[in-house]
Amino acid sequence: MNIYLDYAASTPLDPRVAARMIECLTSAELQGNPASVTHAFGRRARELIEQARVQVAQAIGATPASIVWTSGATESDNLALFGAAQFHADRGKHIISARTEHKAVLEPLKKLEKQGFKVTYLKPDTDGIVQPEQLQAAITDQTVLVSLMHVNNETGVIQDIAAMGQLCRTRNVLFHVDAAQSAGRLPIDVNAMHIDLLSLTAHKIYGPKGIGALYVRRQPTLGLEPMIVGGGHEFGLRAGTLATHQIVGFGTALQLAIAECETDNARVSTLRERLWQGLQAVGGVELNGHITQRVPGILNVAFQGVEGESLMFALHELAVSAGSACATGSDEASYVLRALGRSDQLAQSSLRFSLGRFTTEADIDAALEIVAREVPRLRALTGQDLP
Amino acid sequence: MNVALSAANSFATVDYSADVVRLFKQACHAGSLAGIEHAVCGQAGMRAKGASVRLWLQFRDDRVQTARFEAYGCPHFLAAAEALCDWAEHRTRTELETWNWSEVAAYLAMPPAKRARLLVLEDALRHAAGVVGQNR
Repeated sequence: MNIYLDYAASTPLDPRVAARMIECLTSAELQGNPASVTHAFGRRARELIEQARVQVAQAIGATPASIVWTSGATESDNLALFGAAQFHADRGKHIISARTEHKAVLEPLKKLEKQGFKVTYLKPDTDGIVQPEQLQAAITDQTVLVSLMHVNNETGVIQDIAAMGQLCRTRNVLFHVDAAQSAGRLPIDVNAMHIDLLSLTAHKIYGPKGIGALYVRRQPTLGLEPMIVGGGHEFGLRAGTLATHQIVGFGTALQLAIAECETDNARVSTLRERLWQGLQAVGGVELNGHITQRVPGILNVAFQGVEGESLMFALHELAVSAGSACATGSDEASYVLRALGRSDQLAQSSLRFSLGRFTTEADIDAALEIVAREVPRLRALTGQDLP
Repeated sequence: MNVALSAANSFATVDYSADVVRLFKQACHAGSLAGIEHAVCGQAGMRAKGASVRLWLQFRDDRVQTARFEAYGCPHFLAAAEALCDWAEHRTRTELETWNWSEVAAYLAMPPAKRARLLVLEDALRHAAGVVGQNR
């Protein structure tokens, strides 16, 4: 038996999205290059891409011309950070972010530090929240860019993006938000939240892997240095032939996620609560991250008295994550949980359960049965007074 | 035969041999012999360092009658503790001194980075055998 509880890493493709993608892949009318608008094949593909651009733009309160297609949130983060930092370097070389950001943000920032930028990494509270006052105190005359994630991929904690955006706008600092985990789950309005750059991806909202978008503010136009050149596609910001089926899949997935957000969130919240109650009944568990300021689908739990790798092995029937699934091959303690003040030991014994549209009550009950069997067995192996 | 974890987790790249899987799941020597007559205990390692073990040996005459362990560590370490207990039963104290961690490492196909953890087991075994020596 394998139970998929790793929706924060990637969601299954919604069959309705798959149907639209298959249509694109199999229709003879859609085989043209969307950039070849001189013939009907290209124009039809372009039409579908522009429809998807409208769908994505509407989901975040933006205009279609502000949506740039990318390969996913990682590329969007890279384009936002390198593109904005390099284009606006004459305004200042100070960037602010947080210790709990995704590696797709932290690693570009490390590179920018090597290029002479100074980066301030805000430390969240033990509940994972970065306070707007911390940001306010960190902004200097040299600050050119702030990059913060809306929802943390490991803990599910929600940051007060609107308050951060207001601060950035007041101080004339560019504001980038990684919304990979929040789009389609939480309301996003780039204008009301004063967001200048927003990273999106399809595969966290039941869309295909390999497609994402970067929102780039257009009014007034925000300058950005492109990273991929060679054709002038996407307003000169990201060259390369567009993948019609992927983009159509993304647009459809985001539209569905927005339309079904309320019902999905309510159902997933109930399932998450059932899971949390069940885990608490096993005993010796601690919640990582804020107890209420979190998205419904993510539950990060520390298991006391068990070693992390053995815990994962004992629970191998459950597809869950220890730390970030994107940081594969490492058994080091999660830097996100360490930033929240967790010990190495407890951070290593933490698991992220993430639920979604296709999770059932039976999945949760089966998962709890496995945890209730294996965790006490591991604890019995250890003996509680072992140093 | 190696068994890869199917879980989508950061340890998914770790392969465990069929013997590791079997020993980890069975772990029939897990437990304590505290308070049992003629039982001695050797302890080594620390949880904070990723591996800790308490090895219990109950002797009858000069032979190990029962071996048990309590351990904190990765699946390879727990499997090695189980293998050690299984091996130790019915051996004399002198024979215990012949336990070779590198043979266990090879038997369990332990990744090189983890082999040092077997020294923790060796320390616990020596400690337990030493306690027997002191008791005699």
